[in-house]
Amino acid sequence: MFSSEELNFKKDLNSLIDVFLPKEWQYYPDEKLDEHWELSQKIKKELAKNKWIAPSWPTKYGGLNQDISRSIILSETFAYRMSPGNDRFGVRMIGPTLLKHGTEYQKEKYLKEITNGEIQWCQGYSEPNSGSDLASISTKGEYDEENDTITINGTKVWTTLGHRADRMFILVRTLPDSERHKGLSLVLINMKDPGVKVNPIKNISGSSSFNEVVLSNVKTSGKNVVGKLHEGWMVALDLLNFERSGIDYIGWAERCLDDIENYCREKKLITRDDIKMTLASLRSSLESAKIMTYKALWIKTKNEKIQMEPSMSKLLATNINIRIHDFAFDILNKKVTINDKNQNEFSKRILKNRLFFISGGILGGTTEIQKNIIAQRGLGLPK
Amino acid sequence: MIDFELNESQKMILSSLENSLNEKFDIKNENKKVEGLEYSNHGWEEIKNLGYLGILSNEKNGGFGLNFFDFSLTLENWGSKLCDGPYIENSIIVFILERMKNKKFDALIKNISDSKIIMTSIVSEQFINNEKIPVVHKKNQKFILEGKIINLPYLDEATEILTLVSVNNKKKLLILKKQNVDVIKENKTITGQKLYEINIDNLEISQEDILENNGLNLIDMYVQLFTIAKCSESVGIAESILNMTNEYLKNREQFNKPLGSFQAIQHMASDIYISLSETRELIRYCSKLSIEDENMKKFVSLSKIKCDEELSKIAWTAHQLHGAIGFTWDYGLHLMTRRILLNKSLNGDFLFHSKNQFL
Repeated sequence: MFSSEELNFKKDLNSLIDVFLPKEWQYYPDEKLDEHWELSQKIKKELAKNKWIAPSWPTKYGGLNQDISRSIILSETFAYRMSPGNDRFGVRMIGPTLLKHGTEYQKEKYLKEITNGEIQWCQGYSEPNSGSDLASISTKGEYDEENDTITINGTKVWTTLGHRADRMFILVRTLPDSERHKGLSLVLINMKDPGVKVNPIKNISGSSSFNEVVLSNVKTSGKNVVGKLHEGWMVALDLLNFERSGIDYIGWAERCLDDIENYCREKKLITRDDIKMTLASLRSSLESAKIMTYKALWIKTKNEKIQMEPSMSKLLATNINIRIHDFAFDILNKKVTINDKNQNEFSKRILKNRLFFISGGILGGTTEIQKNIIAQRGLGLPK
Repeated sequence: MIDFELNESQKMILSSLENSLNEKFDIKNENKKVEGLEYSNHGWEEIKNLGYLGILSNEKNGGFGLNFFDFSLTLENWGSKLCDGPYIENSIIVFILERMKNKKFDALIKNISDSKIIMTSIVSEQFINNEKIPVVHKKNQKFILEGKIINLPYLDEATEILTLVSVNNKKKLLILKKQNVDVIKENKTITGQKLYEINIDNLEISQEDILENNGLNLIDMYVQLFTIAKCSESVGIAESILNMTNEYLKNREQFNKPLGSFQAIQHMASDIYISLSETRELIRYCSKLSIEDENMKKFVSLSKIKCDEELSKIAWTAHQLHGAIGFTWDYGLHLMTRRILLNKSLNGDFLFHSKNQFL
């Protein structure tokens, strides 16, 4: 699938990660922890020096103008190593959206910030009363034509990295009495501006990677509307398609499968036929999900109308990741659930990740929403 | 570099075969076949007449000179129209003969490409299931073949048989003329396909009829390629299940609405689409690998596992979505389910392919 040059890039990335990551690193990055966040910033800076943060972007915005393969390798390698420093919100969400819909001002300013490894973005989509039904959002963006500013009031929720972010791309209702998909705009705001309050929310794995963000009279310039004012719905959907691919889940799943397979070898469990069959079935589903993920990312570069490939790959990648972690959980059994002095880092990781990865089928559009998309847009079934 | 695009020639291969087969697909004829009223090797004449048996042979030997991935694309089409006949067997034998790079096989390759010689084979089952195979003895400086071959398909269409034989306790491939064997038993599969048990009694053969490896593992090559080719065919069959189901969901109304407008139904239909898509991509990826690739064997087994796990699930889901009509003989969905189940039973089971991951 990859050329020898691309595989060399993977080696170089691993060497870079080796410099920063302690040898026995077992943690899914938890940016709430200062130690992880600082590591993340150091690694991003080092990636930026090599122009590796967004290798497939145009050179004038700090990329290397290379094809999607390098971006895939980057995301997959970082996930496999469980290394902090891979910027999902900037590189994979708002970045490609700006490349497609942004003004030259926006590209020049924001894309370069991302490739310099300086700025952290977060996403302002979900609200307390708008989850899967994204078109029902009620956060207001009042446009003042005279001063060309937008004033934002409302609450966003489940905002991953909201506590660390410098900027947010936020979906707001700019036409006051508009309904559903009409009258929405995608707007860029500064998280350090007055009126932004971030309240951490603790998740089931015990960490607080996501937050509630309350916005009170937060102002931004009209230059920060992505696409046309009041016509942000399609831009927002494009961003969701850029978000969805599941590539990180492939890396995390493969790491877990390799580790648990090695554990089964060490403990001689591999001699059992049932273990062999389960491992083979998981490997088979991982490989097919991986190819689907690659295809979804490749399709995004083709400038064709994106249909259901990102939905399928996201669903498959999150499913196989959970299946593999479940199997690891079953194999380790009480080593995971009983917190005694013999519990090792591997067992702790399996428990924490098993709980954390429940989020995979929920964030970025639930599994059920993806199935709706596939049925209606892919199979043409009626609404 | 990642590229999922089919090139123009691959698109042409797909559309030209599809056009030729489209007019011929008739579920009712297929039904008769299952009932045993009329045998139909649907699509076989078209494949022969269009010269597709030479798809993997060099142009100088009268073939198309295409690669294995191109061939696998035609198999998706072939499967989707429920075609039947020894297309896969002949194509793979040609592929292997070409790999042997021995001029003495040129005439044979050309004759297969021109469908003057038609091969049949059950080598994959003989090898994977470790079946009892005919034995070659040396008697008075002559090579004598004795033994049985079971569950041999397509004997009616064939002029020759490729079989595994034991020579000095080593397994080898041998080409045998059909006229030299006796049919002792006839069975039928769940799709109506005829299978024969044949006997070979004191048959003098020439050493030339035994295919010598010459550094290639011919048997392994045949088994790997045959397994992945049957997976491609199964993907095609599943595609026809999806199309049939989707059409039904759009047209059938209950509670004054199309069935396909209910979310529970949409999610099941999506499951079919997702399963089919991921299986197809894994099999296509495997079909692109070179037979010499060190990962080929593992990926063939991963593909077979995926194919068996997903495609039978697709069939059951499709039946559930159809309700009672899909349970009837006349509707024809069962023909595809039968083909999926038949293919699932071939080329090694889940455990066999799981063990291949840990060799």
